Amino acid sequence: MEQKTILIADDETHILNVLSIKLQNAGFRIIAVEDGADAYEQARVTRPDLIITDYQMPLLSGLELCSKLQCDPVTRDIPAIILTARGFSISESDRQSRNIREVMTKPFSPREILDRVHHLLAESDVREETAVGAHESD
Amino acid sequence: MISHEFCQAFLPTFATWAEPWCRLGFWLSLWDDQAHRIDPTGVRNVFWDNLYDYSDRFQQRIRQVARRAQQGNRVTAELDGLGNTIVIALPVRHRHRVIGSLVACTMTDDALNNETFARFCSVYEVDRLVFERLATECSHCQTSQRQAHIDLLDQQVQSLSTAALTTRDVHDLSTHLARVYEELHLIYRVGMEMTVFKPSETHFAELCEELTAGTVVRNVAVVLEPPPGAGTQPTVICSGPLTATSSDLAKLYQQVRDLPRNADPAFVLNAPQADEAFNWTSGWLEQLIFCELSRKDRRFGGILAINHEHHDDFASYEIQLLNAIAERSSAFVESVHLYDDLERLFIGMLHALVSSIDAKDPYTCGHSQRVAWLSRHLASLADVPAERCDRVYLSGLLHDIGKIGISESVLRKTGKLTDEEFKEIQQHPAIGARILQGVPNVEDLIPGILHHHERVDGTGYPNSLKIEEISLLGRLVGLADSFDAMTTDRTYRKARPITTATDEIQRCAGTQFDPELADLLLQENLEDIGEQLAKIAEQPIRPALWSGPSETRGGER
Repeated sequence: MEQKTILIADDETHILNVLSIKLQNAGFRIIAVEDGADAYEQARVTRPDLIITDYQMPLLSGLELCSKLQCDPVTRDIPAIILTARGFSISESDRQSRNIREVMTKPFSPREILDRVHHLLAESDVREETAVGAHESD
Repeated sequence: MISHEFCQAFLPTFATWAEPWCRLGFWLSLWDDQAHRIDPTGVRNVFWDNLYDYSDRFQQRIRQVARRAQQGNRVTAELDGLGNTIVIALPVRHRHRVIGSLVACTMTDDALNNETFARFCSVYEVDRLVFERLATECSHCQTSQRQAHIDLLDQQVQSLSTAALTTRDVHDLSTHLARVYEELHLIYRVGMEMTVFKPSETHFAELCEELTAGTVVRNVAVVLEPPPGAGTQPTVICSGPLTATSSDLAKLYQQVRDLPRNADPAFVLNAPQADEAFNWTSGWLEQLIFCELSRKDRRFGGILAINHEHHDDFASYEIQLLNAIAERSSAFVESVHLYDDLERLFIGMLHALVSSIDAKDPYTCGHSQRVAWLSRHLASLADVPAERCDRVYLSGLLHDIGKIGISESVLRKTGKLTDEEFKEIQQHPAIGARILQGVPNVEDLIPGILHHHERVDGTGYPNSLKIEEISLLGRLVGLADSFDAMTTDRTYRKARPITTATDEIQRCAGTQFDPELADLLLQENLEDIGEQLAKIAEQPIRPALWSGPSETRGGER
């Protein structure tokens, strides 16, 4: 199986470091950026398999990032996990309209994040296989 | 180890940043703190690389310079015999320690003077013609620039090594941070889980799983002492791939529990093979932390952390974490025990109260207990949820409490009652309800006491309620009360046989009794029910055992 790429966006660099190392050790290729705007650029160029993003970032927030990704056909299908330090949760409608698969709060358990990552990527694989199967005649 | 890390940090990019220096006329090599060369040799500079490969003396010379640099100062020297050819060694420092050095060699344009070059080649025992050609092919350094270049190189080496080692530090820090997050998350979870009321065993099973998954502890076992009067076998709950059996774990617990610990909150053993007392574990025990679960004078059990994930010793991190969890768990267990104690006390008091009333009439001794049991049994048949069934039991237990307000002469009369006497007896449901009014936490039981003499056709007492107005409690207790009354001796008549009781219930279903409940009762094996009820008779006052009837004592009615 080819190596999967995960894009991580967070303006808190210690979070970037903790997550990068945890996921790199698990065999993923990591692209780490410090803002939602950079994340959008990188997502379009590198087409990662998964995005983990913070909620609050200076130029473009996690929620806005996910909106932009959703609107862009290039990035529409990339699943996203939002990590938030906010005191209150993200509404269900906000989540649904932006293809946000998971919302997790900080401080998080790195092990749990890894679990969810595996889970979401497995889901994506299944979806891809069925899509490929359906288009076999093409 | 730092030197090793220096190599690891530096080497990957070495070729990249050595290359421009090569073009400037500098040959570079990296050395560790033992004066071993660590950069990969590759043909970057035809002259110096070949010289290094072919001349042992040159290698020695370079090594010597590297060793000198370990003292901490920059070394600059001329290579024997060849003017304007110098070797420079730059010590690499990290946190006030020299962890290696960079050795550079360079020659200037005018170094290829015939005389001196010939001497150089003979000193280093290399072929002059070959090396002369090589020397012309490689880059040379300009004399006027040399010092500036050396200073620049020095600076670059220092900043690159700092950067490389800082990256390593960040990596370590992040790994450690991830671990701390994991433990923090664990403590939050454990704290929250313990506010939810669930059986101790479930809680501890989940706790063990969390600990083995989220920390460096490979196996976790929780051993709980049996509650007083419940035998001597401790309960063992564990998680992890350990091959030891439950009895092994119980034995280990018992062994460490009694060891003197002075003021230490935890018992830690990192090398059991050194202690004879633990030889019986024959290999499965590598590292151990034991924390007691106790509050004040009461000991509930203990938590055992067995074996470190990486076969390391357990350190204060794990000990503190386990202690914190043990403390929290102890408080939890104490709460559960206190709650259980209170509940037992409550039930016990009720039994005492009720028995004192029933005892006025020797024939009704045990009646309330029997009605309680039967009411609960009927409730479970009627799909009442388990927690509510316990309340039905209590309501049944208290249903005749109002009789305390009825005169004994009426209660114990053997003949038929007069109208007045009958009116008096009919007070007892209302009296009972009044007694319980205002007692906290028993409000939900009152309908069973108040309604147990109502009849579904509206001809009962005290309020002539019809079926839809009579509470479920009232209908359950009423049926149970009647059944027990029919099947036991009374002052006014002997007990009726079961068949008569069955007919009676059938006959009165729809008038006296709720037809659905009557149906449920009639579908049971009534001989069995009769036997179970008989066992409850003449019980010494004892708290209810929720699982069913108690052991037999004394004779049957």
